[in-house]
Amino acid sequence: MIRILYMGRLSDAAGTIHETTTLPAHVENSQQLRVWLDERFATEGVFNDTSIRIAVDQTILVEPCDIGPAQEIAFLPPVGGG
Amino acid sequence: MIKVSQSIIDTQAAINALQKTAGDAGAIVSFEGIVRRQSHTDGVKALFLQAYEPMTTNGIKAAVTRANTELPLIGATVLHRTGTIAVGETIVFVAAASLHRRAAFNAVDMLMDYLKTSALFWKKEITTTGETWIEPRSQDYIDAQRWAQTATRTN
Repeated sequence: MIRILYMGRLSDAAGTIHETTTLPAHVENSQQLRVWLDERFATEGVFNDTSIRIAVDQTILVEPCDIGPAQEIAFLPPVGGG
Repeated sequence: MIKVSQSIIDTQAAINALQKTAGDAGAIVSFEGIVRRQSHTDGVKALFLQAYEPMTTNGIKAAVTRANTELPLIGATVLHRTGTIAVGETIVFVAAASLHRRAAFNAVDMLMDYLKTSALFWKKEITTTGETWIEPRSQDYIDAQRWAQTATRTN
């Protein structure tokens, strides 16, 4: 099981802020995860946007990266506080 | 002090607390950002701020450490709200204490640029006609770039 978080505008695209799910066997890296989520949510490329970064277990990684043993993955669109 | 929370920000109490811990400071500079009615669209009722903890707080801590190394500071405070923040309320408070004024001015400016462009916050405008996620303006990135150039020069 893996916990996936959809931050910012991605929570609208996914219809939820977070979920715990089981990845299909063929999803082993970040690129495959993006493609799988995009198909799953029918979001027409939203998850393939390169401005969206991925944090794996609270660390932002350079992609493509393995996600095999990860417990938590967060999709981070461009940020804006203040 | 660094705090990300839904709590109302008491700016005067934050300044007093910083002054108390920064005994040798000759300067304290503070900034507060307030939710305004007119933004990307008219009729803003509130902002909704989302953080990703503990990454958000850890990132702010690292930014304060960087500011402290480059300037240097005697102390700094960053308070940032999350959740729903109504028009007129303070969304962010940043203060820096230093021996002389320039370091404190620069630290607050630098930390606000970090909060605007790099800190892990996502912001949604709640208006009279709906809700929209908003992202940094190009000017925010240009502002933040000033500090990267400073770091390159001093390295």
